[in-house]
Amino acid sequence: MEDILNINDLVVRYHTETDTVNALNNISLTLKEGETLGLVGETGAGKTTLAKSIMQLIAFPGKIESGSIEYDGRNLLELPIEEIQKIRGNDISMIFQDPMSSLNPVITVGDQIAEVIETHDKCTHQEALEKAKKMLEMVGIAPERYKDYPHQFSGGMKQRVVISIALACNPKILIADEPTTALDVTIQAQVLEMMRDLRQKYNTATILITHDLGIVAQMCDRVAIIYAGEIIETGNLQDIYKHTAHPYTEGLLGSIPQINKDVKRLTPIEGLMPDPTKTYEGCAFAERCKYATDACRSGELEFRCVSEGHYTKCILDAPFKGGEINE
Amino acid sequence: MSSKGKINTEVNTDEVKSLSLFQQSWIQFKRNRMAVVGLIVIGILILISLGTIIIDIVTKNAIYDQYVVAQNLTQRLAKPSAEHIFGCDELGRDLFFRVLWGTRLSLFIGLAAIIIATVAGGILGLIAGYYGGVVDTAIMRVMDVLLAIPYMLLAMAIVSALGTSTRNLLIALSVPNIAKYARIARAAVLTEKDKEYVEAMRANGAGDLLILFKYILPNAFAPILVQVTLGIGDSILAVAGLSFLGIGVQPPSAEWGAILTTARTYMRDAMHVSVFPGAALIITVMVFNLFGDGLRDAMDPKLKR
Amino acid sequence: MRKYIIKRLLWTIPVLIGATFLVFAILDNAPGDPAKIILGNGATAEAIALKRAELGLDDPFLIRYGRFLLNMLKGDLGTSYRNGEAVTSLILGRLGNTVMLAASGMIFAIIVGIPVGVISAIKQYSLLDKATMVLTLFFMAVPTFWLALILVIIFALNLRLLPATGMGHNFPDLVKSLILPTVTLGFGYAALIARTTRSSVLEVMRQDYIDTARSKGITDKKVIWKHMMKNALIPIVTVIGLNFGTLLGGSVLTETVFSWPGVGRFVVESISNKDIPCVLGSIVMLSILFTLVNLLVDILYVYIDPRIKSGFAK
Repeated sequence: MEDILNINDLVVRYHTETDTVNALNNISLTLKEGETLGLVGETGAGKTTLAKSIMQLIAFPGKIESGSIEYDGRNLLELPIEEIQKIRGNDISMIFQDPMSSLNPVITVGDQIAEVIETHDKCTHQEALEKAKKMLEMVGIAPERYKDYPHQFSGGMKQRVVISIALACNPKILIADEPTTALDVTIQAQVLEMMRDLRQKYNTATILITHDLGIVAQMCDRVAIIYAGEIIETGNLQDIYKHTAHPYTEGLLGSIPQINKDVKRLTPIEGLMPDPTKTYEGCAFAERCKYATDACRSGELEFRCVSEGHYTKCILDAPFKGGEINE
Repeated sequence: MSSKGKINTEVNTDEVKSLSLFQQSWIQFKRNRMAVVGLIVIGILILISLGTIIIDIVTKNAIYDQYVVAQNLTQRLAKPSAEHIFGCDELGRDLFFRVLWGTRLSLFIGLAAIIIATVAGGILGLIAGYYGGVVDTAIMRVMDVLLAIPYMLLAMAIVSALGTSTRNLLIALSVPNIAKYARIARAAVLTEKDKEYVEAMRANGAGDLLILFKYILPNAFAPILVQVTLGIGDSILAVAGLSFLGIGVQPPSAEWGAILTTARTYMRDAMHVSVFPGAALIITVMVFNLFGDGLRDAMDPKLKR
Repeated sequence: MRKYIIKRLLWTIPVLIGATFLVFAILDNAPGDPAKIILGNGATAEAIALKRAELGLDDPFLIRYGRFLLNMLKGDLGTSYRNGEAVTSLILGRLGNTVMLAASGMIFAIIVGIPVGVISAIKQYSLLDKATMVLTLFFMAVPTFWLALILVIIFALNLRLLPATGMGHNFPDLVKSLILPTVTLGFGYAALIARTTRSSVLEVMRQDYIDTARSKGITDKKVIWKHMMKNALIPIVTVIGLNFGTLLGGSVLTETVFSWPGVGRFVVESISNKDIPCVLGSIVMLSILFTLVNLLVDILYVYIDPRIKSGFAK
């Protein structure tokens, strides 16, 4: 399969009055056609910043400092805004975290869906509206409700509307930023089910951002683990779950409760992420890592190939405990 | 780190975890340089007011009589000079002294009118919000009536009926504002009233007055304080407006609005007569608004950026 | 929806009656015997007593108020103490001029205030934004009458571009004579609208749905004027409505400076003439105008914010 998106050495910083926050440090990532990549990390690891960087939605005081994001042979960071606007919503689209706030409260859902269609397909408002109704139907909402406003929908239905906006122009890449976090568990399952169906139907490559490794196991082909603005391990599901090669991944897997194991207590990872306003040497995770040695705290860490397609930033060879892939 | 805001709050909570709400607001407030300048200038204005009062007491009005109200027609409309740094007005009175002595009257009427309105409106709003039901309806409907008459016109009606004394000016400028503060206080009480700590106090047998004054009032304080600061500027402008219409502060009292009003006749030839009192008035209103804006940003967590 | 508007409309009636009561009660304390004012200083005690009886001045307060209210509902606001003319016709002859000035001041303030606020918000922290913030603060602090006098000196007396006072009789003159009063009246209001717009847009800008809109690939212009403004407008409309009263108060000063033949200047003249029926009638009429504008704003809300509409449907 071809690479459809290629991120290289991406650096993003936020400049506040007093500090510089290192949000993303030399992120490199590839996405292949039609695959689903899980991007996993704690709150504050830089997941949303990465997603917004791809969409070119980083706003002041954030700034993309260096690196490249290549889509379709072009570096998105060098394109003029008009070209970016042609790509947004048409080639790459995004689903935001909180469906409650990601729809405009004073515009009808029909218009909000039709807007993206009108922008990219040369068609009249009426045609776009007809297509919007079809999109609503596809995500399981009665098409007559196109003239309703967002506040008249439940959270799960709002997220369906958001998804239908994202998929309306049949994009090649879909970035879904924690699409189910804000939803009830039962609704979560429905939305995920629907996303899986739609993905199969349209063969859309997806970056699924989550902190829930359970969802990753259900939905993803490949996984990238992000920590303190760095990708620290990447590989396919088996690699990550069975041949874990980074202590942080081990920690994440260890903190999922597992019903089929007799665990006395959960083992959350101790400590906090490093202060993003400070620079440090060596491994970002060293302070919280029970395996850390002096060697971990110096130098610049590079990716190390564990097996084909499985990379880690950990210099240690220790056997890390993995987890179950329970779907 | 999904946004800059998130990082900021994380850092802030670490820094100020152990500080009271007041201290947190103060830290926020200090970051706003313009607001701090506003506060300093307000301090200076208050010092000038107190200073002139003390001077008048100590000198038994000697300075006031000699420089502020005594006319000296030889110096009529004199341009600013070393002797009279702001120049002289149409009756040869030193403008610098008049502007300086005018501070206390403008400031006093502006402040006092708002404080009276706040106390009266605040109490009405607290009662309406806390007791609800018929009491609430009765009070707030009367407030609706008060709000239906434009502020300036109601003030004009009151002054023209009662006459133009400082006391009546205060009534005229405070009564129309009562409704505004009643609404703010009521809204603040309504948000606090149903919070768990109030329920807990009530379950512990605390009386209405105790709950209202010891617990709800301090929490309603912030939004009221912000509106008070922002209201002072308006009421200083309103005094000036009434003076201009001839129903405000009466001559020979030195009040900025009144000075400006008499200066209008000479504005073209003797610009200084209206520039200095005008500047004093504008600066005063501006610093109160700056201070109020800063206070609002500091106290309203929603607006923190 | 219609129920909401009717309910809101019905509520303005007791409010307005309350307002007339309040103003009537306040002005009832005005000094001077109306009979003496009407008859002049030379009148005999007998004539005065007769006049008092004719005017019903010796009746109890509530009876006098009731009579005023009933007459008002019939469109009769009494007669002027000065010249015996009907107050209603005196006011109606001027009300149009006040409405014209107020509307023109308001339109000026909106046309200037909203774009300035939007640009300031979009360019937050820029020099332009900082300058706007200082300038708006300044214009909110300038006394209306002082600004008026300075504008008159510059544009009327020195540059001789515009008339200093009065109202033009034909259309081009009317427009010319309207410019300075409009600017005077609208400047502070424009500054307030600009500041409100700025903070409202800044608030909306941070909302997730703006990112959603951007991620659809629509142009920035459309994001701003369609997605942001539709939401930012809600608090702006509130401020515009609430401060219309301040605008009417300002029109009293503006009309006085510019000798604009409106109700505001009429109030001031009537106060100095101690012509209480005219003062009472004018304040009542301006309160009605103010209340109607607020009613209009409340109805406008329903069209701006769909959430209100369905809130009432339920």
